[in-house]
Amino acid sequence: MRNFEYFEPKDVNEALGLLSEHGEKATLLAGGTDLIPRMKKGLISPSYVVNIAQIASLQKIEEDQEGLKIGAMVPLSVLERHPVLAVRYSALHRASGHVGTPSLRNVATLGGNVCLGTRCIYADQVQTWRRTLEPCLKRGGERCYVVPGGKTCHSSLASDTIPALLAMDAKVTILFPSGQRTIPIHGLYTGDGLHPLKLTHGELLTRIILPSLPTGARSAYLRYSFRKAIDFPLISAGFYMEQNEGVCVDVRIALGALAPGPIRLSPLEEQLKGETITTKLLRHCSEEAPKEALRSSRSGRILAFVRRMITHLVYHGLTEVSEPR
Amino acid sequence: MTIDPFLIVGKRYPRIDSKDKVTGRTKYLDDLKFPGMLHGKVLRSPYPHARILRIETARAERLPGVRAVVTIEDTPRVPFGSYRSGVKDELIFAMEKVRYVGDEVAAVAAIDEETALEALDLIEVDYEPLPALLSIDEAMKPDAVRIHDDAEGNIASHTVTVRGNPEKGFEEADLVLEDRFETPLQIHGYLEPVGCIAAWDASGRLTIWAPSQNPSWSRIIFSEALNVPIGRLRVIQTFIGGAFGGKLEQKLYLIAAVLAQKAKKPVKMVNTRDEEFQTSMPRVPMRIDLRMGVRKDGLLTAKEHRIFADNGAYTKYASAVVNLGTYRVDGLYRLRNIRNENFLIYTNKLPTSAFRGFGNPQITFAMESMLDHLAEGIGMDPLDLRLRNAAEPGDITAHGFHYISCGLKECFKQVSEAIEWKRKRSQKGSGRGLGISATSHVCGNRSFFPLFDGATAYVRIDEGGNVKVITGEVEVGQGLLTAYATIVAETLGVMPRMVTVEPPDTDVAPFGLGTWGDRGTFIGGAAVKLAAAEARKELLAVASEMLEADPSDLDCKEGKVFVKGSPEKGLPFHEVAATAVYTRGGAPILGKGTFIPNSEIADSTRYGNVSGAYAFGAQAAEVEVDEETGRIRLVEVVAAHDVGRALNRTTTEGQIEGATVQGIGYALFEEVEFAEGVMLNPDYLNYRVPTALDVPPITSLIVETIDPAGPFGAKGVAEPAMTPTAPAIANAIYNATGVRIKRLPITPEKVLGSLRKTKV
Repeated sequence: MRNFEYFEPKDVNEALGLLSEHGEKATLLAGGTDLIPRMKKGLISPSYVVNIAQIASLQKIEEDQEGLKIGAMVPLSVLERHPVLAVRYSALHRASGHVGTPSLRNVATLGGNVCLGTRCIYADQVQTWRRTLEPCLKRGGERCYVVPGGKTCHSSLASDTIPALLAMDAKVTILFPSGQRTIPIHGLYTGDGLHPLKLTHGELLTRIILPSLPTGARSAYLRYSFRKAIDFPLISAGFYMEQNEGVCVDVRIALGALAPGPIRLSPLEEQLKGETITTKLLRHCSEEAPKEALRSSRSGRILAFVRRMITHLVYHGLTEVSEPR
Repeated sequence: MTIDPFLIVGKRYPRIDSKDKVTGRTKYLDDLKFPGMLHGKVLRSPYPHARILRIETARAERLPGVRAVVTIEDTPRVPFGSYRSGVKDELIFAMEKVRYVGDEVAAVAAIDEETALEALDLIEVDYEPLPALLSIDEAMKPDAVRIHDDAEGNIASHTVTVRGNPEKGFEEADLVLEDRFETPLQIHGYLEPVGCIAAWDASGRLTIWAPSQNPSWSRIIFSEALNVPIGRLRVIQTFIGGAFGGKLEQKLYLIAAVLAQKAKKPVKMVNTRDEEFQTSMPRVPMRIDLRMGVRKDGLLTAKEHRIFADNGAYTKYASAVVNLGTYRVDGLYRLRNIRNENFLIYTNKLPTSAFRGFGNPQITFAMESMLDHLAEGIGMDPLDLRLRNAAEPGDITAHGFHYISCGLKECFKQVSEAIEWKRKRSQKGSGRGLGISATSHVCGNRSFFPLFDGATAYVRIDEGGNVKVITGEVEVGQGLLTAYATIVAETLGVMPRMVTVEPPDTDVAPFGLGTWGDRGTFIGGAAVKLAAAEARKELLAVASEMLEADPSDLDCKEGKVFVKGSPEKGLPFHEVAATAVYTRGGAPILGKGTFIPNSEIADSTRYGNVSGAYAFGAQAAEVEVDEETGRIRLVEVVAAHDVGRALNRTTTEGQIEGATVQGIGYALFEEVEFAEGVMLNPDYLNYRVPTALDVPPITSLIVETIDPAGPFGAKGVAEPAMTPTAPAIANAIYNATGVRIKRLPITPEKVLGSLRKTKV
């Protein structure tokens, strides 16, 4: 790992100051369970590391008429044990509990997970590997190893919490030296594997806002991974549905880990809205899901299997959120 | 009911090394530091196969902080190999050619690791890439380039073994089946990476500190490779954080020695995790074509296998794995007519070698999978087919193994009862299934080290009553220290925690072959028992003067030496020990024990009773397969192992459980993958070892056959306990779904793909 200068600002203004002072050479440390291994592998070599763990305002969870506001530095282990989340925001509650391992979740934060960036088994290799093979698009080359012949980066946005937050229509607040903005979470992602986040240097994501949900609304999170712990998901899926006497009023389906950005299955959502939910309808939607999900992306390896697992997750997720509480 | 004569043997004492481990006090190699110590790093080949045109080290040598840069030019260039009677195809660094991604080209010693890494970047190497042979098929093509000039067809070894009359055997069969099975490249998965410190003293004597599984034996090979007389070389074993066969002779130790010689300073080298994956000599992948015949009454009449094994770029222990590892399975059942043909093929991948089970997991997966189809074909319960053919005590196998103690049938009985075999197998449907499998293994192997078989130990008691065991055998995490402490404590009548076992130092310890082949407890333990008995004799002789009684009337138990029948009048153990030292000119009580098992070197056809005892085991698995996702849920694994005698029930169960988890990894998760000759998953995120959540309840059943040669009757268990797991799981999946996966690991993707095919 290359040497770096380390800071622990006490408030957001100090953090913003450090970020604008050091620009591209600075990296935020928001837990570090992903950052530190990346630094060790030499995938990033910041000259300045700004650890925001000491900023009290980023550790809070508050609720008001806008909804539940979760500070960016709240550890995932707090969320997986949070009583309000368990009852009302099931998708985020479960997604938080799926990340890594219990010890990683004690350190990893929601803000860090939301800003995880994309990963790729080829692009994230150690230096010896990168010395051997031609660099891929993500590492400044012209080749994609995931999709041979691919002209765009097919790295994967594999955070567990992102599809859950998308399904719940969460917003994020971003602070910058001259002010702040609050945007829907989907606005944070570009879908471009080379630059997956719409955050510029000097900006700080401070909180995640979950809207107050109408009674009768349900959310869920499902994922497919090879092992029951440690693994990033092969597919992650967030679901939200609001029903009125068996008729779907509102629905959101968001998939993750399949592409450099999260994928909303909007055409399927439209098919469901206004309809009476039946097993047959959900079956139909889940059969359509792989086609919709993989329209703009390709998961090069084990594609047929991925398709079947998308159908599986979408069917079970929709079934769960459409069942009466 | 028999009365248990033991106070310590067979009980549940905690491991003697556990407290230091869990409180972080155990010192591993990387915790050691010497004044002036330098840090070494290796420059490795980025190409799977290339000619080296030029190596220029001048810029690296000029970098401030660099103390030595070495290449093949700085080494004696004596070819060496790991396996004494095998191929010698290695040098300390690549010469003229590199043969896999990771091959050692040069190395740097510098004042710190960062400087050494920086210097690596300054070494210029010009390569001319050669065609890379990344699979056994590519390597065996008639027009393939040679990876080693003298290996025609890229064949590192080829053997044929015939016993009985296989042709006649197949003629006598009512059913003959033939199939192909494939096994993956599995990584040992220990936590402590390989590392070492090498230092030369002013007289030109070299000491290597390393987590070595076989210090005495390593020293012979190092002396050859470094061209240093054995007596000028000392190997000190440091505490090992897991080995599983991966910490036999490592090239890193030699590189450190070369660097230390040039820099005239101690040099420490520790692998990074990706270096560990790239160069750590993992399990030999095999493609196994198997043919077996069975009569209608269930008698197995013939077996034939042809194995193509992936050696990687250099021959470490793979020739032994394929030739001495895969024939043991023939004695598991009473096979008489056998033809085995083994090809070991060079490829441009990392060298493969020894790993727990040593060839047995590969071939057992194939054979135990096939047995279920043979049973099905003749309408027999797979358990009954196995029992019909299972080895028994007194058997002499087709390859000449003499089974003295053999609890195989009892293992089958216990696992099948525990998992309710008959009842559950008769219930069809529900996506659940049961599978069973077994294994046999050696406890030491005479053929490995033709000079001798056996072990020697000292037991020394100082004036404080501390008992020290000195041996050349090695704790690798399996519980050897505790096993030896148990043997000594029982013999001397003290608590196991009073006993410590010294890690081998070749200047102090007797020559020991080290830990491999399930020999630690059986052979090393027997030597320790003899040494303890001699120490006890000395102790009682001293006490007989003090108590004015005949030594034959004395006993020692619970920390006291006393006249039999009146323990209350006894002397404290430490008082006798002190008297021994002070009345004998300072000589501590010192018992020496040597055990030589009744084993023989196999002949040129590999026939012979190579081990003094043989271990057996059977495992059964219950699985549930989700037909929508292909996901395999392990419901339960039951493992029964004939361990001779469990010296410590807790550590024996721990061995069985740990091995079973490694077997589960082999069955369902673990496989190293490559992209264009480069390892794709060289870390524990992408190489998937099962987590605690992926492991089902494991029931360990201990079968005790009390082997007449073993210490208190004990045999080995470390290796055999991982072998039957994968085939038991594969058979359970077949029972649940009708899908037979012949290539490990059995992933949901493979299951789902096959389920679809069978449904169409």
